[in-house]
Amino acid sequence: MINPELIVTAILNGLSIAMTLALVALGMGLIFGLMHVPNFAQGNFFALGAYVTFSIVVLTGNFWLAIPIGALCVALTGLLFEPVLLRRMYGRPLPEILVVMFGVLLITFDAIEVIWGSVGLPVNPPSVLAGSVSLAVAEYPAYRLFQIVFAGVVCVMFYVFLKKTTLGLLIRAGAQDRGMIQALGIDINKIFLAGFCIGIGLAGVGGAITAPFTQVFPLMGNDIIIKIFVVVVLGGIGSFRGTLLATFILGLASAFSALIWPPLSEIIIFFIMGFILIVRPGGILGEGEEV
Amino acid sequence: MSEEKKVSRRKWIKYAGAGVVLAAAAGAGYYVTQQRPTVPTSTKGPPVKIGVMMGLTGPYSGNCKKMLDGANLATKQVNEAGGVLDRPLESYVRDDELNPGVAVRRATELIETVKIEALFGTLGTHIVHALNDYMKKIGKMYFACCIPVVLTKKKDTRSPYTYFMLPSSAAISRSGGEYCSTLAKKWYLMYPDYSGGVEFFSYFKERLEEKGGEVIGTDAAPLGATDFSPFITRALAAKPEGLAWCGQLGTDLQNALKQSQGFKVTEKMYVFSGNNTLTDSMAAGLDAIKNVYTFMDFYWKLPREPTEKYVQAYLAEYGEYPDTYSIGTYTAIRAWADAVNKAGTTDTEAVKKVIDQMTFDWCKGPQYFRWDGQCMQDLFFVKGKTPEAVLKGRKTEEVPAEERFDIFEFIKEIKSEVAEPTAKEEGYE
Amino acid sequence: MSDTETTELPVKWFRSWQGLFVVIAFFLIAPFFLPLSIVSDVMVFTMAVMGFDLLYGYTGFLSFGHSAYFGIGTYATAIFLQSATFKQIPVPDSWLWLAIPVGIVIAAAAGWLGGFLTFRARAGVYGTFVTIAIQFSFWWAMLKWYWVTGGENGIVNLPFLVFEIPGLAAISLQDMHSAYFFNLLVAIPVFFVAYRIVHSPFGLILRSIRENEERVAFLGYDVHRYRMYSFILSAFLCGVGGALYVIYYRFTGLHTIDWLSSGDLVIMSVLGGSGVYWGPIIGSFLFIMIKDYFSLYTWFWRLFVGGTAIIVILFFRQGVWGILEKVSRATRTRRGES
Repeated sequence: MINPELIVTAILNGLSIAMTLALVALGMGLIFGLMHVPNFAQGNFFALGAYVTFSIVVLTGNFWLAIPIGALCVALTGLLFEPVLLRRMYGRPLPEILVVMFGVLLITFDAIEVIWGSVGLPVNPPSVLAGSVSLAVAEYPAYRLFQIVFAGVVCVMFYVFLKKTTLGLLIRAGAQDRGMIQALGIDINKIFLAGFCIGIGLAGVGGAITAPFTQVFPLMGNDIIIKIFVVVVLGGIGSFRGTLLATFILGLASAFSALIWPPLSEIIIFFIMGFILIVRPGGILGEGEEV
Repeated sequence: MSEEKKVSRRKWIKYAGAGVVLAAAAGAGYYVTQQRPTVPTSTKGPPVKIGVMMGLTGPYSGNCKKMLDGANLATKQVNEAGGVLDRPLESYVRDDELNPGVAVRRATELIETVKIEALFGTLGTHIVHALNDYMKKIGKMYFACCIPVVLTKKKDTRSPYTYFMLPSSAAISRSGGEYCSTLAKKWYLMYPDYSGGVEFFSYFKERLEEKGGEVIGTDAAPLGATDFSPFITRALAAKPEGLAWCGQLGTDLQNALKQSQGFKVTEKMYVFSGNNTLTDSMAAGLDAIKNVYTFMDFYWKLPREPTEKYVQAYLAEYGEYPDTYSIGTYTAIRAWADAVNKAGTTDTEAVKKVIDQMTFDWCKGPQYFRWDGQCMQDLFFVKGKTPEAVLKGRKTEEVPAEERFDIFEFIKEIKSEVAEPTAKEEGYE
Repeated sequence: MSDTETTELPVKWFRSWQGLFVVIAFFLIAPFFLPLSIVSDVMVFTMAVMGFDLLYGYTGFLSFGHSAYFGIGTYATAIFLQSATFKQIPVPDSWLWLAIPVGIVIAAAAGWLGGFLTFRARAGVYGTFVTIAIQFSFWWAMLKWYWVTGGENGIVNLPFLVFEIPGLAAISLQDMHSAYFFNLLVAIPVFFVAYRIVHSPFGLILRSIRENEERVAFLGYDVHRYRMYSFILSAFLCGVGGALYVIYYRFTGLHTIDWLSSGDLVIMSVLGGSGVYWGPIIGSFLFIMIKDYFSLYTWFWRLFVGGTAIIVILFFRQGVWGILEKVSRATRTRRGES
């Protein structure tokens, strides 16, 4: 088992899982940090990104186009939900918001099936990425390397956006003190709208790059939202560092436990969560939060 | 004080009365809404009613919708051929949400309110168990159109009126194991980690080893896993002559085949896929199934007349080739309608006497029902063609449907008698 | 307590136990108008939603993983019944009904564990996420432990219960009708007990926790302990529902412990009216009728169910009960009654 090929493969598998989770979890964190709305339906926006990618690939045959268009389409659906639904919910007690978001989850789930049907749909990676890459000790599928790199780049772009751009600054300020922003004469509703669209857009990107790897099927949203819940509990929902740390831990744990005993890999994340809850209830990084 | 008491008693009676009225109204409304047929009634005579139920929503809704397609085509063809006992055949469709409680609830409504003669469909061992138990008490026929496990077929479990349309997990796996032993000696086996998957795996291993094969490693991937890379890596490290996906179905199988292709497994060893459907194969894609040996219980390009007729009818009706899941319900409804016509009555015992003796061939070759209700049939092994052989230098979009579905090379057929569990195994001896 | 304080407190007339009679009357009469399985499902889910609502409507905590305790109730009862039938545990046939209390106790114990983990999480939305993760863990446990729980297949072919009245006769529940009425015998006392609990000082403390937790703490109550009590009690109620489900259907499976069915509980509670004794029964009845109705016409009934939940939260915060209450109050004030 101390086989360098297996170890390297496991590390890369773990990173690939982690980076995809990170995209979706960061999006969820943005929406929650800004508007205090836990987006239950984040998984289905992830799925939507994958489905739109499928359609773009079928229409144009070009995968590289599909990623930005897919993300954009998902972000645009935010225009449907935020003004119509979410805006009415700000200020309501959290449980009611949760129930509404659950309703959104059910609706987005069926909406996807209405448009694309219930059968799993195939998406092929572009031929340049279809083969495997020879690393020093192992051969590894090229597409997974692409996943890691691309998702990593998007995470960095997101970080830069938050820290360096005006809109990012407004979002961070809006998360910290809504009233102050409004007092300065800025329309908080536009900030919220932008935040929501970016948040689900991130999930859409995650879905778009996952599509060639896992096929596109209606339940893919459900699959990922469970993992996101664990990420949130471990890393905190508004914390950039916490989210990344949590996804790395979960991704690597999952990949390495698959080496030792495969049935463990799916449930190890719950063991970790249970352990952290008992030992360190404040989450991995403790109580402090930062966007 | 007594004034208040009188008032509260009046209110009590009022609300109790309102409750009764509400319950009655709900019942009446419910009864009325349940009488909706899916086929308009004709005036030839009171229609013969059947129930069609499967998980139209839920994890396997894709497969279940194919089952429904097969059922609807069968109903239509039966009516075109004159109906059942010269009366129109009406099918009532219900969604069981892949939930046994809902299945029993809606089956109860179909039997008691709609008054169906027989029930067709259902996917999922737990649903088949629950309904088999219920239909046993009711004494009506039930055609389960999914892969049965041995437990349901055992003598003391099975209702005498329950029939199983698809080959059992034992048959699929044993025939697979036997075939693999002819391809290579050293095999690495993969299966999904749940009771059904374990059953596929154990039958496969048993027959493979019996016929001289050697299992050098096994792996249980979680059910619904999307990432098979760690398992493929381990399999490759063990350096087998062949890799067999014994029990993966549906999306699991599609992912497994696609990701194997990323690791170029087919170039290094034999790859066997234990059970494919048309949908899975098309979804996995030409590159993924290239050179993969696979088991199918229905191959749409069989050069047999019933297959060709069925495919043409299906194409005309739905515009696509029939999926494996459509043939279970199709065959069951056509066979039952035939049996009722021969028996001259819908009485369950009379129909059973006829159907147990019948041989029929509606889409893939001669089939008949054995003493445990299992439909005996031909099983097939095919091998994925290389994309070039199918595309012949053209782009995928330019290839006509006829050829685009010609993705397998037919290798071998076996009879399910070779592989189905014996009478002893099922408690009949 | 006057009925004009807040809209969530019970209206005076149903604080008396006549309200309870209507609930019981419904379950006695409905089997003659509706298919039996529907009424049984309503009864079983009413129990589970009462459990859920004890947390949501009374203490204000939203548990999105509550059907886990319902599911554990079903599995515990089923495993006991199966072991007893195959004589793996020494239980004579006429004592099979012990499965019910066993199932309920195990569900309550799971509730203790779940509550412990849930309330360790940070305040706010994390607790809810933990309940989902806990439910999913239980689901996986039931799937993986397949040599005990049957995995995907669940546990099937359980026997009907048999009773022996010593010296008199042996009663065997031969079919679903007798199973249903037996269940009702068990359910009625539980409905009564639940009724007494929510209208007791204990229930009042729970409601106060929802209104203003700090104040309750200042009054000297250990809020955490009351939360744990309510969690265990709610798991208990869910467990009763689960045990009765198994007695009626004689099977169980992963569908009882599935994460999305917890959402069903939430919607039933919200639809009927949360924080109110009558809410669960109205909610579960309406939910089952709505779902069955839409399912006849479309495969996409989830769209309508989700839409219903959203509309109810947006416009009818007190659920159907709130509507009924407003109507009854309006007619009463018009007639000049207090």
